[in-house]
Amino acid sequence: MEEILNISITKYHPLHDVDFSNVKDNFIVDRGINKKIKLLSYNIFLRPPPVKNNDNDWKDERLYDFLLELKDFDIICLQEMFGTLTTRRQTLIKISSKLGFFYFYEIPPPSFFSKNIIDGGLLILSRFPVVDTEFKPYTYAILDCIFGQKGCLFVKIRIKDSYLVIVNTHLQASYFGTTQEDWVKKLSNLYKKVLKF
Amino acid sequence: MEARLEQVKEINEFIIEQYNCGRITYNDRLILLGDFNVDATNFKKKIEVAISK
Repeated sequence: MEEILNISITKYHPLHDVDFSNVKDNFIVDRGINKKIKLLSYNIFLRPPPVKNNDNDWKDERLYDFLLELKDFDIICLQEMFGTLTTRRQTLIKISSKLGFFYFYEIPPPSFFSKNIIDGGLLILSRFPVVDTEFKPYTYAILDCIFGQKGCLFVKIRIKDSYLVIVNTHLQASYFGTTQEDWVKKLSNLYKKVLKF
Repeated sequence: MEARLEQVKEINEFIIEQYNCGRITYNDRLILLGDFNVDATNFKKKIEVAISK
């Protein structure tokens, strides 16, 4: 996967703190006249071994393809980017740092004394400085989700003189007895409360 | 189902705590992202309706 570094170079967002007088134009990502910041939230579905559906789920191949797309984004929130029993997450962090994502925050491994076997698979990559972080584990999960440490990642990112707070999470996956429509309705109401606060 | 609702409530409480202790200010832009295990198109419509009211 390291060969990606031969076809991609470290690039800075035009709002980055770096002194641009020393940076060539082709080392700056094109975000238009408004200098847009591009966010991605993606369930990358890279479960830890030995969990798989088809052969090896094409895990390495999909990670390789994803790395090629990093240049199009500035802040990336990933789910199911597991770090237990695999080095894929560390590989992604290492390569992305060389492509301009100098800051990251990954979910910590579960405590030795907890009932969780694997981490929650959350990762945030950023081209901008991360100035504050926290992982908030959930106290409640059911079915197969009890094996992973579910929770949300909180990061505060500084962009020039402004701050962007991002909360990245992966909610309970398995469920029963409720329609999608019911869930959408209830989640919308709760989301509305969060936004209104 | 209840697990998801409990988890969203925990996020909500966590965010309110961060506001109360000054870790998040009203000048900050807050974005909640992730996999909510929800039909995204349908959810987006609901959110747009919620915001426009």
